[in-house]
Amino acid sequence: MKIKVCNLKDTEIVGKIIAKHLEKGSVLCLDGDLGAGKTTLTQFIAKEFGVNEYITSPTFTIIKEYEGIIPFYHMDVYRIDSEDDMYDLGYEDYIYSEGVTVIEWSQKISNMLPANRINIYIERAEDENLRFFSITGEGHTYEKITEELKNYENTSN
Amino acid sequence: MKILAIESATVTASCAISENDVVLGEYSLGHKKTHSEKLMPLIEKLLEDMEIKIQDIDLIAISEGPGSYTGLRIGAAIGKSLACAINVPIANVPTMKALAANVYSSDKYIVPVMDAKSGRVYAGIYKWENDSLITVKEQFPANIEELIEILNQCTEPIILSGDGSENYKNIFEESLIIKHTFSPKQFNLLRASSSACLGYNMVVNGETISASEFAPKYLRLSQAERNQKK
Repeated sequence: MKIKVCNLKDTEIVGKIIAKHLEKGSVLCLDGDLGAGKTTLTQFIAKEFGVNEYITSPTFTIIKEYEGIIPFYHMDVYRIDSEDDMYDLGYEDYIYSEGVTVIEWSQKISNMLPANRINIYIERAEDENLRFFSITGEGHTYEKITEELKNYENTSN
Repeated sequence: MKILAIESATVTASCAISENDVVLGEYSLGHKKTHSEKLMPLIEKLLEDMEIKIQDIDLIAISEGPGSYTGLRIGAAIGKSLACAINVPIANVPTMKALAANVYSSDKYIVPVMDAKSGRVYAGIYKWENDSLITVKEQFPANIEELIEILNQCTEPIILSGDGSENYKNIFEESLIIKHTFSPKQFNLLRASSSACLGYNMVVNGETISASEFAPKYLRLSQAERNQKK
């Protein structure tokens, strides 16, 4: 599904809806150009998990762990060149864990993403604040998120 | 000889001390994967409570993998540094064999299966001959379909154990032609005492290695191998 996100407030609401349905072991993949708002969306989601720290894109560290209601893992795999690099970071221990994992630039490691996941592609529009979120995925978490986002779409646009 | 065994391949953080193949003591924790915080104090406490000095240890047995990447690295770091410090050899115990050693049967094959997620597993095939656990097929990575194919070629009935046997129970029951049973859940947890006993057998067979030679075994294919498979 594709939804229109008009401003920061909308992003926050969408983030809240997504966060509500993410659970232990969920993997959320975020893609889109630089400045599309991947980290911003992550910040809103993390807030819902009680992460009080200020979240920045872990471009340098690749993986950052936060203590929330459940563990919150934030990855930025932009600098990853091979699957082996990901294994060498203990990637699998994170995605099959008791925490929620958000992966920015996930297409860089598309071969090793789990089947059950939510993908959001964020697209910028001409209007500086306007974004389009294309959401695909598999699994019951994905289904619950899209169901609620559909209701949200109907009332907001 | 006194053996200190370390187990950190999965959610269980465990350490044990044995005198040859007689287990003297063991501590195990199955609480989150906080091995980096818990395992070293656990070893310290075990030594202290058993009134054994680390200098009295003659061999370090480490569950070498496969398993959790981080868990294995923590076990390796602790085991290697201890072995270096007290200058003793290491018994690199295959983790699947340690899992198999939880289960005894005089006539069946023991098949421990560890769930590597996404339909992939680690497994091995073992059998007891008198007091020794013999490796029929070395531990290997496979997807669940490949494993079933391999198991259906076994010549003896099998006992499945490990979290993989629980998680894929339905698939096993549907697809296994060979006679099989499932071990009760309490035998599916890794314990350092198994590695201690297997470590002793490795000493007897002259299979120990030096601390510098030890490295965890992740049992995953390299990228080149994966590409070739596609």
